[in-house]
Amino acid sequence: MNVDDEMLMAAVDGELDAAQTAEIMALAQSDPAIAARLARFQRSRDAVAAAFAPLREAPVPGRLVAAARGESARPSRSFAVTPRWAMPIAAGLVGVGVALGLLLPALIAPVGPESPAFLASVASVAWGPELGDTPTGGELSVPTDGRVLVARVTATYPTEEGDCRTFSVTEGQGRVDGMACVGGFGWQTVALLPAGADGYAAASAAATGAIDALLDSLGAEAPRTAEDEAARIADGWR
Amino acid sequence: MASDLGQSIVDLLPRLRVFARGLARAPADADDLVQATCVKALAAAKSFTPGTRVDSWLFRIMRNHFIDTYRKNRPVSAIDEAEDVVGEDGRAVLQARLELGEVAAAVARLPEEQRSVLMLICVEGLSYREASEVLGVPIGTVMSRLSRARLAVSAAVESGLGPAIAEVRK
Repeated sequence: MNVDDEMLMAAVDGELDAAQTAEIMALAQSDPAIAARLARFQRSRDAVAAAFAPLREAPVPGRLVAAARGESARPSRSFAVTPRWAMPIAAGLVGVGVALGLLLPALIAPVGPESPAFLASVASVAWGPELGDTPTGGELSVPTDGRVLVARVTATYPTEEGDCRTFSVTEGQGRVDGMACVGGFGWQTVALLPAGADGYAAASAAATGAIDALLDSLGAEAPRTAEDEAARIADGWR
Repeated sequence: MASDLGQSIVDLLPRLRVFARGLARAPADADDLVQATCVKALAAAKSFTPGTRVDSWLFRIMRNHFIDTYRKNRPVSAIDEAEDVVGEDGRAVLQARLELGEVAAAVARLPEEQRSVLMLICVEGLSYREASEVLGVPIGTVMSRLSRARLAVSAAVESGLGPAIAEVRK
């Protein structure tokens, strides 16, 4: 009698009805080969369950309990919650020749007059709610590395993944353009590009083009109007 | 409501950590995956259908997040063969062997789609139907993946790894 593996496995796993199970057991009684195959499925199940059983008894780290309760939890390194807006960056813009890190901000292209320290300062900005509270055209102070940078919000775009805001940070001759999107952790930088100040038109155009491409990949619509944006600010970008 | 959900998640953390370990393999990555899953689940609380299983819902969120993150962190060209990347898989298998024994090492060697189904059914105790809902594939697919995974684990177990298995099964 020919019985396929999946049928035998299902019998072991309790997935067959009583009649089918009885039939398989009767076959196993009369055919040692079938009995051996059944036993193999039983052993594999038991062995896998036993191998991972000790993990279930292990103490749960406090940070996970805090995360489950919705208490402030730091985004983790390798499996940080990365909304889908971060994926097109990896998929679409690597070919542009920009350096890509696995961490947000995902896109940092050191090609302009900006010092690495300046870029790093902007990259390390942890956006507070102020970014969401500032209307387009407005400026906000962002403390970083013991100094304060000034960011100007340049637009708000509704995307398939939620709202994203573009901004510029200027320091001396350097200018960095970037974009941040709102998600479970508040505002997160998703792109940073050295744009250069006056006289660096090429860098500026490249930055604008890269951010446009990113917006396209996110299914961005036209920028929000002032009224529309004001309504979003009022309701906290829910 | 949200706090009820939070408490349910707290209660399920040990099981979430086990499934995450099967997916991500490295302990630190597994816990990061659990943390991300908690955050995502709380943010998506509205998508939970009352009366359905919280564990299945969380497993689905976790697995989807793992797949997304995993692919994002890989060069595009390597996605199809991603499971065969020797260096990373080699480390994952070694770590599983050191901490959990040969059976876990055999599990760590399986492709992700087989690991997921094996963990959900043999470790987390889901039925075939529940696993098919978590994974978004037909029951027939669950059965074929599970059967291949089980036979691969058996083969590893029976190819001279007897003592290690006996140790684990005690």
